[in-house]
Amino acid sequence: MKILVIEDEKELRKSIVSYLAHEGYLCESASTFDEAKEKLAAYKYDCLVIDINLPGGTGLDLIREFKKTSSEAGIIIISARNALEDKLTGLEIGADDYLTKPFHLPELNARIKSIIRRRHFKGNNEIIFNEIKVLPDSREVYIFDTPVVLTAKEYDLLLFFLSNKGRVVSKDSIAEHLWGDYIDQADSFDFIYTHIKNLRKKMMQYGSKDYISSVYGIGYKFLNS
Amino acid sequence: MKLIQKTTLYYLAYILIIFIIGATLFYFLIRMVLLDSIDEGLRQERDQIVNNLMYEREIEELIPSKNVIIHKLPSYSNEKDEYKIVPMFDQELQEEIDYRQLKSNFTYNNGYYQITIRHSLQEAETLLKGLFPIVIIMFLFVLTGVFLINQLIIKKLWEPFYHLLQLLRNYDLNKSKNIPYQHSNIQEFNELSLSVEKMTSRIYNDFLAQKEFNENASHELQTPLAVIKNKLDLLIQSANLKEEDMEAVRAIYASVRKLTSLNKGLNLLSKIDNRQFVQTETIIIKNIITRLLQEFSDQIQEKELKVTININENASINANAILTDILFSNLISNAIKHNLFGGEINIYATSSHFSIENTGKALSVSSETMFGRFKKDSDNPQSIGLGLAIVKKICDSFGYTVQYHHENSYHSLHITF
Repeated sequence: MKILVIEDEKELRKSIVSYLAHEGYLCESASTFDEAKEKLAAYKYDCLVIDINLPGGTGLDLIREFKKTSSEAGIIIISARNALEDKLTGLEIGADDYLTKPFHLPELNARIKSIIRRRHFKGNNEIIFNEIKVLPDSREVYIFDTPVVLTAKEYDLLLFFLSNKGRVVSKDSIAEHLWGDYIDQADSFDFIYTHIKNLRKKMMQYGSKDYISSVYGIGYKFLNS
Repeated sequence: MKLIQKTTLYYLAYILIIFIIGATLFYFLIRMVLLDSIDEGLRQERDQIVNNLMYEREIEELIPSKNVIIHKLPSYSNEKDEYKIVPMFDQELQEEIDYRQLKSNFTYNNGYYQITIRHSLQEAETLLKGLFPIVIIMFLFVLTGVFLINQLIIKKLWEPFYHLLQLLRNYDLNKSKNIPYQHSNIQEFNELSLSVEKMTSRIYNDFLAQKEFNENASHELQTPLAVIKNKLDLLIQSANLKEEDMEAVRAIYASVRKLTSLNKGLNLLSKIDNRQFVQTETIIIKNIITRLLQEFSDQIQEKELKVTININENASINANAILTDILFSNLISNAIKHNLFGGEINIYATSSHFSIENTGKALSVSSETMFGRFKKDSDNPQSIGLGLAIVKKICDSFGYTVQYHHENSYHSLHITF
């Protein structure tokens, strides 16, 4: 899987590339409009991470031009502008997703995985991790081929963990992933624990191992221990 | 008062003064001329009578008439001729009539005599009285003329002004850039139109600059925030972190979150100021509240709050969907945050008002200032103090009124649509 990260802010670019590289993706980057254009012309990518404001042009123009050559690659826009028009325009011209800065890397990672899954395994989309099998299209979960009934939050949590397995995901990123904007004003994230506890309990009930471990109170890690 | 009424009033006052002064002067002038000519007539009559006496034998034999009286004086008098107006009762007309009277002395046959001659002023007075209606009619004519000309002036001459006024009244930054210059044949209106064009262009440019600044500021802030957040996401992957390092990371996460929501809040406030949320739609209050309570269900459960809603099934408002969502979610979030453990939240709504109340401690912030920015309860350091400022701003932009009450350990916010 090959990903191109188009972002002008050096540190951000480095962070994204570093996180995604750990996921086993072949990750390249571009910092300007022209550089991105060149790379897009020369190589084939599975997914593009595009910032809207770029030196030399806008990410939206880049998408428009790229779409003319009818590529299969998934596109995710990352922008500091939380403007609804930008989001709608982006999705209209062919982007798959839109993420507003500042975002968490596990969130970006989960979204990229979701896009790649949708594009590459059309109709036959499943995530398998040891005894766990998830069918994202129908939101079904099986453990040892037995269906497990999860609440919406528990399902989202499991998928988020599976997308970021082996990584420490902070409570912040979990909260943002599960509750979006409504979490902004919450006093604490203690209620995350309730959902994690329930998910763990249900999975172990069906014979799954306990993969979720707490990391100092900062976050959690889903790991093949 | 309208321009036409005001100008007409000034004209009216001016014309009234001129007419009063003019009519008075005219009256006295005419009266003077009339009396002069009557006096002249009396004088001639007297001279003629005195001359005619030379042919009479005895004055005493003369029969006194009504208007000519002669009587003998006991001694010489050097009194001058005297003209004056005397009222006398007229037997025929049965009313008092003014007469002009001349008293004059003369010598005849070594005797001294005084002659009194009178002349009725009735004709003169009729003439003077006849002046009054003429003046009134003229006044009315002038008045009508002034009014009609004024009307015409307002309609024709001021037309560009009223047109400009209409444009200014409907001026909306979101719809038009400026009010373009419109040529008319009046210099002042051209200057006005030119100034308005310049002013609205400047306003529009300021509006754009402010919008741009807000966007840039939020962009410039969000990128470093993203860097911090992402670096933290990478940092916690390290296996070498000690427990106190993790404590520091946790604190940084919390601060970044606070900064992020602060930035978002300020950005939102200026977006509302810039009226960037103009689309409206019908929103069923019950639907949105039910959905939001679902979103907040974890926080509600965590505090073991008891939520009661009493919302009219059809209650709806016509407003911008994004802002309405932010408005109600801020209110609900506030009611959760400032609640007691195991407390209550009560929500009531109809199409004309909405109220939300929650149990909670008395606030350290006064109810007058609590809608200001960064006014927050000292007991709640986690809060950024923008929630109610945003609520107030949204209500203002929708034209709603919002009030806060604290009674019997219940905080309640009441919105009138």
